[in-house]
Amino acid sequence: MSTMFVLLGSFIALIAINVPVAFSMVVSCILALFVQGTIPMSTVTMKLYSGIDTFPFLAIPLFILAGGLMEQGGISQRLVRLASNLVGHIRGGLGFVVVVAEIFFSGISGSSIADASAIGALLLPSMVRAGYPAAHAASIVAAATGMGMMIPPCLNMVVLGAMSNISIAGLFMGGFLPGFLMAITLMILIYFQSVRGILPGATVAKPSFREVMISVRDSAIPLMMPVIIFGGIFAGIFTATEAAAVATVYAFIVSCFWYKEIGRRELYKVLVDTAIMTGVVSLLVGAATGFSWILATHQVPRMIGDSITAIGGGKLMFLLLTIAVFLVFGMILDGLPAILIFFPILYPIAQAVGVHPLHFGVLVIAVIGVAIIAPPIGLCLVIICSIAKVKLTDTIKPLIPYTLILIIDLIIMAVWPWLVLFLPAVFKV
Amino acid sequence: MEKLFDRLIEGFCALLMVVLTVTVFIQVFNRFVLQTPLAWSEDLAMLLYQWVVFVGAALGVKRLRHFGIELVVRQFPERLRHRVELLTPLMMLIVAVVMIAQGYTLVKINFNRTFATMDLSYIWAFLPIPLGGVLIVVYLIQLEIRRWREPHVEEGRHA
Repeated sequence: MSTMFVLLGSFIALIAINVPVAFSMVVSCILALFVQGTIPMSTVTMKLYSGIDTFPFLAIPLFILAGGLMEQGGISQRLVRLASNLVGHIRGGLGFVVVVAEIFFSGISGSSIADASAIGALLLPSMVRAGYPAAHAASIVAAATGMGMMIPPCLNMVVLGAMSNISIAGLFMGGFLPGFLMAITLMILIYFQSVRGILPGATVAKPSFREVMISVRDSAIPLMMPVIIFGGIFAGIFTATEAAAVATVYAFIVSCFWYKEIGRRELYKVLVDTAIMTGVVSLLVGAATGFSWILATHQVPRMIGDSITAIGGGKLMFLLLTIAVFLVFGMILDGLPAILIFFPILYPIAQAVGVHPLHFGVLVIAVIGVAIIAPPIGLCLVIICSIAKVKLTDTIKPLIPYTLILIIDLIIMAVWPWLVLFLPAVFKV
Repeated sequence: MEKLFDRLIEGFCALLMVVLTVTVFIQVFNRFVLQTPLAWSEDLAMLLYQWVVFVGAALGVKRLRHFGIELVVRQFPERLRHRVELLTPLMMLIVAVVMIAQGYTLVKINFNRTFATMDLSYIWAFLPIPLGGVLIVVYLIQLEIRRWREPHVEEGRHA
């Protein structure tokens, strides 16, 4: 028991004083094993290694690299122009453009922070010019980024699938319908807000057919990337890791030889950044593996499981509880650490009460998407606010309706599993 | 000197990333186009990945890219906050020392093991752990020297 006290107590103390989460976890493990006394210390370092030593984890550096190359290659403007030509002329247009551009963009990049920075930098200025209050414009970008977590490829899905042996292809496929549900509900809300005059009805001039076709042509090359990734995975040709490697080579050829927007220096920078990002994410995974392992050897997941089963209430009650847990801890800890700590604890219980692994996995990812943009402390929201140059507290009020509607979407996902499971069943992944 | 060292490690990371991508791509190409699956490519790719992880994570220490939770310390008065933040490099040092010591043990234990698919010792698989530890120590020293020389350039962490 004292081991658990040391492990959890030191972890909470360390993250509270802003020691990076991965290092806090390793130090807590070291202290806990020191107190425990019989487990050799080399276990900690061994877990850093073995926690990431399976082939699916290799998709992490490859998806980061593919996304990084594409972003450098000047695709953001092309995707935003396409979105603008498709939905910009509808009432509430610019808000719609944000949502649709985010769908395209997160289909290429696996990181919400990259999405938020690219979309925010491109669209926030024009929204403000069109009469959106800056804080409200930032909230729309934030809400769209939260939705984008569902559109694969998604790094959190890769990690979640790799650590729990859930099919990554299944998670990717399962994310689409809930992602579209979120996009549609957000757009309905934006539409009503602009009808009621809360948002400017500002629209982009209706493009001619020719302009639409030109923007489709310009975006065809970047949008081929999701086609390669998902076509390959869903046809059963590639594993997620292999698809990521093919996508990386495609992104490299396109941005270096076709668009010629990446020179040797940019390429070098993208490679180094990818290595750092990979190190940061994977170290966290390895550290959490040791942490969860110590929790498991002390029966903590089983005790939590027993007390949840004692509450009763069945599947739906359990899923609602899951939503609450990941919403709170996703906000406080950020997405990945929340997944790494709580997923291994809750997943066995999900299986025991008969929740489908894909349903559970996709739901958790969706909750994380909402948590990172939830006011007042979601990490992604913090980044968007710094791009929009608005105070965090100013976004709380405009964000509330978007957050609420996303939470309603989460509950819909919890109640109707087929929303997640339909596409994976059709494509047999 | 410091610049040269950083360039060297960064260049090494970039090189690792290139070889890693090419290895996995060759695996796909051989399997689907040439129809001759390779035995060694998966093991080599995993080995390279571990190198990227530990060298990249160490470089992340230098660039202040490991993220923490600022929510609580932001409420502290500034002087207390600066004091408390001195603990972060100390904690990282503890982790680095354990990585060096215990990683060295792992390297030693696996001295005579070789990969089933490649004529390569397992030393190469575990070497990144102690090496990453050493790099973290070097970077922590660099950061402390910089903090000592220009004490006010403390802001802008976790950028």
